Amino acid sequence: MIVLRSMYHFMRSDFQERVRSFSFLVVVIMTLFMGYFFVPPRDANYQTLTLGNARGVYNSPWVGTMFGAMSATLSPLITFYLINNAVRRDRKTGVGRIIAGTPTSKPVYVLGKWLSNLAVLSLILFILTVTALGMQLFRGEDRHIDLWSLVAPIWLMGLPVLASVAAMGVLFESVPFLSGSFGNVAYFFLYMAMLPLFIAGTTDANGMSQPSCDFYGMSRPIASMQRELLKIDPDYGGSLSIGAEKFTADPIIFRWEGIVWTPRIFVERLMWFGIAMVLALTAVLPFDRFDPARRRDKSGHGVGQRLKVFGLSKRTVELPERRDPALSGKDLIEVPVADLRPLNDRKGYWRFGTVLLAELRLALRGHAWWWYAGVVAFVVGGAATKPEVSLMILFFSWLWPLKVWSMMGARETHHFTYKLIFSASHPLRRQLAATWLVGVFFALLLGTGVALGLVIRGETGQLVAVLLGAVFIPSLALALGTWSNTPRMFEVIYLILWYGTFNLAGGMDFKGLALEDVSWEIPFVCLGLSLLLYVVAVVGRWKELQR
Amino acid sequence: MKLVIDNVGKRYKGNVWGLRNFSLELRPGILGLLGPNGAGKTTLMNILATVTKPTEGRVTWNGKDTARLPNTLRAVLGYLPQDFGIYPNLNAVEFLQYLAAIKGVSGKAARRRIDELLQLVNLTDVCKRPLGGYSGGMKQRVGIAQALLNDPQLLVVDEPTTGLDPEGRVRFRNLLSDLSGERIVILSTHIVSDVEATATEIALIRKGHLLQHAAPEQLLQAVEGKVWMCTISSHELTSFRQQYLISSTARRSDGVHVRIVADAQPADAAQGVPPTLEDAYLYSISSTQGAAQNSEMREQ
Repeated sequence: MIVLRSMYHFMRSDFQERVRSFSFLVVVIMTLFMGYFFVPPRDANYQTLTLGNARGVYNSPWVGTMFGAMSATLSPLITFYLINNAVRRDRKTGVGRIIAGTPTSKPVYVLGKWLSNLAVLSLILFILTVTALGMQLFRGEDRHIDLWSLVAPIWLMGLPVLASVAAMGVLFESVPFLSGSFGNVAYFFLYMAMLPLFIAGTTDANGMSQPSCDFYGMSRPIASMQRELLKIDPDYGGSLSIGAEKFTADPIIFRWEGIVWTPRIFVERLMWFGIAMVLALTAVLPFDRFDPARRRDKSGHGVGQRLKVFGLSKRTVELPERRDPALSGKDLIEVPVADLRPLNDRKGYWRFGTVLLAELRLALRGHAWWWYAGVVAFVVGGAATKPEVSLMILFFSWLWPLKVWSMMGARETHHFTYKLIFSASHPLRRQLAATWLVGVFFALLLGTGVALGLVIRGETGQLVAVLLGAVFIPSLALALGTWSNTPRMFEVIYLILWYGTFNLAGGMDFKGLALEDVSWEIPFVCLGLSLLLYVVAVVGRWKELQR
Repeated sequence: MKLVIDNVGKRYKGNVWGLRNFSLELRPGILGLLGPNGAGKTTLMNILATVTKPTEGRVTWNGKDTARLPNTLRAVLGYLPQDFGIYPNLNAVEFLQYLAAIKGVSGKAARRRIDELLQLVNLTDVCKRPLGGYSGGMKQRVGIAQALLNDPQLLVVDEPTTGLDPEGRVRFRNLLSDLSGERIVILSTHIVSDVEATATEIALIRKGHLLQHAAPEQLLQAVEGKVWMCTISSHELTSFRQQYLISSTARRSDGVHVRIVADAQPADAAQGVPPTLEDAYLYSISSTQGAAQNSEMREQ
């Protein structure tokens, strides 16, 4: 009973803390926005849940299944980054150390955090449910509300998947090397890799649905839809699309009345829920229970400065607390006399260069040896390989400094150093500009090899594209960092943009990719956008300074 | 060198005023800013450090408005906030080098300064260890060092001895005294002994208002002949607490030794004793607030 109460309170306090934040309000607005766009009108140039070139009438079963499919397949990508901070917050605020001093066991804590994640995601699911109801009425193709047919697919499909996302959040936070930027990237690729696998699991070789290995819970409703469609369109080949699909002509509209959500389906979904819970419990193994001794070794070996010790004169002073028995009779101590040499050369050097170097040193610190090795490998690899491979290397090399870029503009708040930095001279003109240039430097550095190859081959068009990319990425990072004050927003948006661009560029096949294929305005748009983003960053920082 | 705080006020969300009608004029020396928790000390420190802007009134440094021209002050400002962070992957030297660059100090001058400061705050032995592994007191000493990097003319230190051990506190007090020559030092704290050891003038602040601005001697004079010591039994202590302003108690074998601040002799056996700044502080604060608040203050 006590265990359950502890778990409940972990869940409740964490849930309250999160939903009262401004960022959650943003998430709610985004959820409503996405819900609106997920139910396009008949004449829209895109459709979201389609079978071939057909979709169902927007009645309760269809809209419910649409939102269920969205919750199960698309939302895990975004929601993970929303909930992936429950343990981190306890670590950062010091609450974790207080918890560590209580009888709370690791399984109770981990499950409490999982439940908290799940509570937040359930609230989002609830908002989606309300949005689905509103959108069915708003589109008005069928205004009859069958509440069960609307709600059941959303929760039966969405909740077990989101329970897994909640578990992944706790697990990633408990594994030291997955708890930061690397973990965010790793989850992104894990999601991208698993999505087609799980969707493939819902259909057989002929494209027809099958319930085995159905993580998303979509096989039965999809199979039912397919049967219904085949009655009016015998040529339907079994294709299914979830997400925005371009439609130039009006889709075929057919009526689908949903499925019976049998107890067997409930048991199947419950099984996935159970698996999610077990996944969350595995976090107990790597979780350090806020023991600083189990964190990464931060010993002072490595780069350091040799100190030239100046002989400050000393004097003996009395300890005022000498009567304190804890001081064991230590009445006198030697303290140095603060005869610091005055600084005379306040204006005798180029300050911006100094700040730039300092920012560069800061960005270079705190990485593992393999990170530096990776930088070298990307530079060399980019220069030494065939053109089509070198461009692919460029794509991956521009993931490498993600941690550096994501901290741009957010670092001062993230590490709580803003009072020190913002009380120094010209925080906008010097420090922010230097931060941006360091970001550009990393993009250029990682692209050096590829750029060299392009220069040698005389491919100036692509060289320009590389240079513009090197300016655009840090500008985006700085803008998002200064406004969100967290590295995560850039990480999520950049990964999505990266993936989209990567696919647009041909995925793993870069043969034939050339800037000549791209409209001439694009470089100017990209440059203009970069400048705009930099201005946005300046305004964001200026706003911070005006508090 | 002159810092003028002219009728400054700061309003937070929900129409809560952290500071109101606050005026002071400062010249070189150490100002001890004393007040209970939540009095508005940190708000004032943030305004002086140009981290936040006043809602009303203005602060001028040598005649220049620090809200309109913050960089004039920032170039000569040393600021130790009450709460601040560090970059955990940097060691003390690297962190100070970074901040020195941000403050416009570089090259040989910065290196020499950092060496001296690390020695001064007793961090030389651990200066190559990443800051992530530092204790709270060690981080505080790094904070003290960074505040002095640019040889500031205005040094603003907010609760600087928090987390320091007794030896560290003594070191810091001596450091402040040594530095106070041709610069303005503002020391905000609720630890009266820190102010007693260093301040040349004291400002008392409560609920965002300036109560008093005077030399320590003037504050002490106000309470002269009003501090008493007597020994009472344990069961009398509660009624004494309700009747008088008690500045300290100590349990001894013959009873409880009580230090009382009162206009009249509280008991026949009570003997007058020389006042301390703590007595003067309590007396000043209590004369403007109710008995219930007095009790809260004594606990602090």
